[in-house]
Amino acid sequence: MKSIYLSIVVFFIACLSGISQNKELLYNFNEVPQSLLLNPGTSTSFKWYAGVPVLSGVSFQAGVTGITSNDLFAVDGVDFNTKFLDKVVYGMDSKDELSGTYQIEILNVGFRGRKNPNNFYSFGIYNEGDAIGYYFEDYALLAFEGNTNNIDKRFDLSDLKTRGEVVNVYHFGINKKVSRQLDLGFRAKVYSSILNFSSTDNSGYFVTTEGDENLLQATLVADLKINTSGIFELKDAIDNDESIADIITKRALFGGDLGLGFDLGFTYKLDRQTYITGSILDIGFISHTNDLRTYSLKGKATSEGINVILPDDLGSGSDEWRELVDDLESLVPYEETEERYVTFRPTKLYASIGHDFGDEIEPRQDCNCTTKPGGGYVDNIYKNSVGGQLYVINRPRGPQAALTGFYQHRFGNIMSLKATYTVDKYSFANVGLGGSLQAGPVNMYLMADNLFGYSNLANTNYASVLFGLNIISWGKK
Amino acid sequence: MVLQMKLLKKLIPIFILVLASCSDEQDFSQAKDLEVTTDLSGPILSVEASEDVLNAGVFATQEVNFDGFQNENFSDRVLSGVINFQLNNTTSKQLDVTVDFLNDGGAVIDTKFMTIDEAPPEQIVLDSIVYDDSNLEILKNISSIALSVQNNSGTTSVSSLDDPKFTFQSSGSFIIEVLE
Repeated sequence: MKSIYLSIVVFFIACLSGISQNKELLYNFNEVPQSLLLNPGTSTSFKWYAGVPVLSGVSFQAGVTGITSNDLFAVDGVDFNTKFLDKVVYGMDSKDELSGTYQIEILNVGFRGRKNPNNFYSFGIYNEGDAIGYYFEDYALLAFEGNTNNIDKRFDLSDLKTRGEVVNVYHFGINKKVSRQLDLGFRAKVYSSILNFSSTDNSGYFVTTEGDENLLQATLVADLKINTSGIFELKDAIDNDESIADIITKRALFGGDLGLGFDLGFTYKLDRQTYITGSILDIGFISHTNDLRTYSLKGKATSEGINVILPDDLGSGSDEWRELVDDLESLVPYEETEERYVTFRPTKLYASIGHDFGDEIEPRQDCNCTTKPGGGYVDNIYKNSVGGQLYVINRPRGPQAALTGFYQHRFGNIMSLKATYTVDKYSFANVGLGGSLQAGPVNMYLMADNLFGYSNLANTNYASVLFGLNIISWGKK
Repeated sequence: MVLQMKLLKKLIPIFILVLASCSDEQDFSQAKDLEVTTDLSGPILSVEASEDVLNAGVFATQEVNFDGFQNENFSDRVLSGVINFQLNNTTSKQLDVTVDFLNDGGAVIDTKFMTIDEAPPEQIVLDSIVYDDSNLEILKNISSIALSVQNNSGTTSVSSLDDPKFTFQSSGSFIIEVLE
């Protein structure tokens, strides 16, 4: 029971820091090397960079729709059950969701090719956790109302839709300036999964109707499955007060379930000051083969209870109840197995169009090139940029999109600020602000979303923070 | 550079504000107060007897094992309930119907007596037993159901209705504590 309370509390505490995976502030923020992770084809000007291990890129994001923490946990004197019924059971629907992610860079290094300075290579490791759960509307309705006053209502079992994982990602990318107009990028990824759960393709229903042979008839049509990997070995270790560090370390270092993926991206200059960009991230999969546990319920059964027809069943001596239970269990068997499965990564797509304007800023690179046509890998840098961005992520209930307008201002080569306004499923009033400060070779950045939400975190659906520290060199003497 | 540093000084508090943001007071311990009860219904037992069966004797009993109420998922969580009965009679017999609920030892722990007149026209009788705090233990100890039918109209009459038969149908509706 405690675990149920804990789950409820954790569920809604998570709402406090809520948003999805969109990193609209970091996208195209070329002063920060981590922008390469959002678009491997972004324009780069670094000679080399090295992220400060574990601190080069830290981000936390989560989002919730349909409810806020304040709706349930405000100290308002209203009975919790009343609030729960109003705001959750009758206030949310199956499209509402809670999602969250974090990412911690362990290593991130980039360097420009010596032979061909138009090539920029980067590699690293990051740990990432991602989870989403949709509100199980009809399950909750069945739990709170039951079927007595819902005769003929089909309780939709597909409302169970959730997935989540913790994974280490090893990546190597190449960014190539193909021409003055075009930058292309590719990043290969190897995934080493630490744990995963997935239940996204469920179907079926439960319905109670007027019976033919009896007063009521109950029908269950189910095709439910929950796949897990990497969870029970950890649970057993925790239950036995054993250390889980070794298990996690082993899995993080290719000892877990492995997968492959890649990112693609480009930047194309329409003219000297106008550009379009695009990237598609995490086209990949993970094959789950270790520490597996699969729960399934599949079949179809209709029951009108125990039906006796005389004289055929007169004094049959059989155990009618046992027969009924056995029949139902054979028609809709519940099974626990160890089934290998494959999950596809939540693929993300970014696209943008931007226009630079204002004064040009002196390039930081040490090279013999110029910003004029025919020069080397140096791009023109202007004081201001304005534009729009699109973000789409593939979710269990289909693609989820966000639209962002941005303005970026550069204070010479020292500092750059980017402000965004984003419209998405979580908010129509998401204003974000990000800044990057270059103090000598040290680069610091801090970005935060949904700034208005921070005036009262308990009442927001959406927030995120990302920050990091890097050492950057442009090779300028 | 001076301008930039001034700007930076102004921006740092903004980020500090972001990281040290405000929040209304929250009391997460309220989650412990959550109570979930549901009202579940389902079929229980139906018995169908043709007029031929009733003409074969003046008294018939059918006992059926029914352990559903003793299942701990039910018995540990049930708060109250009602068992509904419906009798249909298209035979030419006036019938006395007794439903006995028996425990594991075979002892009768609850009884419902109903009577239904002969057809035509088709006769329908509805009845129920309510279980609440005063008698809930009876419900939890039911192990089998015995249906007894007393034929009070002899063994020779035949109904003028098509396919004459007597049917007993039952269902239950129970308040179940899902989360206390």
